[in-house]
Amino acid sequence: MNDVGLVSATWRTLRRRPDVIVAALIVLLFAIMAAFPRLFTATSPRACAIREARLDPQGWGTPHPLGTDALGCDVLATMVAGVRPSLLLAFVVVGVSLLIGVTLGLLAGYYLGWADYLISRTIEVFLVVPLLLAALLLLSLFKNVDLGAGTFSVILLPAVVLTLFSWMGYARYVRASVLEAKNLDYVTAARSLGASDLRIMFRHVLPNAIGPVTALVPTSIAAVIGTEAVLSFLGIGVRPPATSWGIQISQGSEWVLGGAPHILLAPLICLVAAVLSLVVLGDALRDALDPRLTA
Amino acid sequence: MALTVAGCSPNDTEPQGGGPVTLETWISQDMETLFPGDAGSYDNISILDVVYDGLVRYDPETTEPYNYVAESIEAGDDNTVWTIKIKPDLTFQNGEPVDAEAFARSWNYTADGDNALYSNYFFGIVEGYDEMQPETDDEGNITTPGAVDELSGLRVIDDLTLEVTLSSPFAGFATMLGYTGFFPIAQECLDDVEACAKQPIGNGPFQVTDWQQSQELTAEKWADYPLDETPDYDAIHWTEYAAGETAGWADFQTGDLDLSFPPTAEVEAAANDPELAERYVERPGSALTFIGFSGYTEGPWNDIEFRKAISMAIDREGIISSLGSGQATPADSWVVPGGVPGGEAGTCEWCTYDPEAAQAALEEAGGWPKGEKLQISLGDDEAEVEYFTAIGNSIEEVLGIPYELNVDPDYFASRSAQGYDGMFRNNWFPDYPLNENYLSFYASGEPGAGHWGWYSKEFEDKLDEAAGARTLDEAVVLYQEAEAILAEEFPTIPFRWSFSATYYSERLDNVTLNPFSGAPILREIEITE
Repeated sequence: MNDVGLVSATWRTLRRRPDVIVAALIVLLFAIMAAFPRLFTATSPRACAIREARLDPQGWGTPHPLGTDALGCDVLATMVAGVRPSLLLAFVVVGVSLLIGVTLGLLAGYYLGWADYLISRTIEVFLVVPLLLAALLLLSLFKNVDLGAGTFSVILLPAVVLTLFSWMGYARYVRASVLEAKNLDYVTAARSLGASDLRIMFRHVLPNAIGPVTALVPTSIAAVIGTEAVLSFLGIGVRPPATSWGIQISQGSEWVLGGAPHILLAPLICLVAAVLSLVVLGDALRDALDPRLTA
Repeated sequence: MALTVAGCSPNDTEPQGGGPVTLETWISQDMETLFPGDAGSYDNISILDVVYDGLVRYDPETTEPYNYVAESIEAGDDNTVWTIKIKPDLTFQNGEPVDAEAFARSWNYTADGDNALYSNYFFGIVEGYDEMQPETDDEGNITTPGAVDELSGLRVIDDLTLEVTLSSPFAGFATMLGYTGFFPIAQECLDDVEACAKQPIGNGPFQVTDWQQSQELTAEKWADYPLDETPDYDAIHWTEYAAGETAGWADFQTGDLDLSFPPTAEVEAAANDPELAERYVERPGSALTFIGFSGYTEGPWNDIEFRKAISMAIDREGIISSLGSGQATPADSWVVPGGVPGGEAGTCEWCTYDPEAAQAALEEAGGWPKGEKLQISLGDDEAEVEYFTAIGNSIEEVLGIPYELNVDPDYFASRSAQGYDGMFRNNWFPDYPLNENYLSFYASGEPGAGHWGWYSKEFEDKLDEAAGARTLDEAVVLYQEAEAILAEEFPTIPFRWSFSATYYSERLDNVTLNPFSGAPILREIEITE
């Protein structure tokens, strides 16, 4: 099956599943929200009138459709503003981890020997450290490092830490696929025709190995979004005054019993919807891409 | 550790077997010392209040001082020389006598700048203080220790008579003497100050028996207490909670604590509970939270119009009513109104929310530099971070000045070292009931010095004039004039008066609150079981 065939076959499988369509639409919605927040709200998340604190949701068309939080900031505006750091963080972390994981997995699986030994042991070292513990430790240590307040600066620290502990899965997956693929007849044929290592790796081995890894991506993005919320809840993720869903959830949790549960519910529903959609997509993608699962 | 704490809960001390009756209360976890001369926080001051007795104590209603350990306190003709006579036959909990020497020993130790104690500055009014202060380098390290170790103005006449000579007249000296820093200490305490800071040897109705730092502290009644202000119960147990932790309220609800106050989000629910409402006391507090500026750095805040603009842009009413659920009062003066002699409301002309006047004042000050952020610094306290976020929002909303919060765990050190750039939070608990106490800490001595880099010769001359007044009443009026100068020059912005309130358990009775600190007066509480 050539590349075009794989893509279109995948697409055919996916579009027959209604849950995938719904999940994709939700993810698309959040992506648009991150790119064009103005489409969803005209209010700035930093325009907070304390006298209007903890208003109940007032419905669409009013100044505060989802009400206001404990400091009088608009809940919808804060939520929309929180999408960008959450998604950006997820894409950066998954992107960089993918790059590292695929490169190392490819090297280890193709060359074996000392390269494999070195890479596999490193993978094991990083695997045995629990992610949450390591993230807590590193982020608390560097809590007071000032990186500025740009969109990218606020997520830089969590991004580095999360990347550090999420590339191993890809590396292992790729290594296993490479081991399998490199002994296939057509690879042996290419080698005997005198193809260089690089050419074999990128033309013949990698395309075969990349499928299963791609299926991991949506699930990983979901995991990063979830982890970011946990870290922000603990006060060490994205830093205020920048906002993220985790920060909103943490602030809202105080008021659940204090008569203003909407401050918690709005970001919580978004978080659950986004994570769930991504997991559904990941699942479907794996079914479609992994040849071993197709009947 | 949880087991130990539970072991001391009131449920285990039901008086069936006639066991000791223990009051269960709490402090926050960061208390460092119980040495009288070094205690400056809400927690250690309220604990030392039952462990030590001062020369005077204050009436909980009128805040008027009355003699307690002192037999009499008399001023010489011009309020410079004070003669203190001490009641006979009083002892410390270890048997040492509480005499003139016990006070002299304590005051000399605290006044000695080499020991770097919190209450050191209170002795600045006593003759010979300057010779006791060390020279320090720019980082505050001692380079040359103070020349002498005793105040020349302090003279032990006989066992029970102490003569104090002040460096200049001060009519309010007797009022100061009930403050923690003026408590006596035993010789045994001075011999091992570190041990004494952990387990003080007091002369009050309770003695500290055990302090597991940052976990719990227990004090038991001293059987031989000679004076009469002591409650009927047998012991007090303080559980320590991390600052901002809400576990205290949960423990109160399960009956493990006798005194507590709910976290912000639960204030309303508690107030609406008719059963709880019966067990509630409140009183306006006298601690001022105010905003200072780094007058020692370049910035728009050195223009008084800018400070006015900031002050009028802060919606005190709105912030306090929605964050504190009414648990505080907006401040519009520098001395607590009604709480101490000379305190009046409304001395601050620019302390009401007025967006238009604020914008006009900002324009007059030349606006805010584009692209810059106003830094708002404060200590690491969750509730206060919320308040100051709201203050920042209010300023940004009215004046369009973007801000950033700088939450600084080393707040006190940074402030002393003039390490801020912008505006920062300050809080002042009064030490004794006189308006002078709210004003004298602004006297920095020279331009650019002090926490705010603010200096006014006129203001400091007025303070000196007031200190030299013949009577306390005259002094109070002159201090009011000093407050007026402060109001005119406007170096700091009053924000909020504390408001104290507490809920108490069913077995407590006669719960009243201290007019200065707002802490429940432990000596007055009765336990009915």
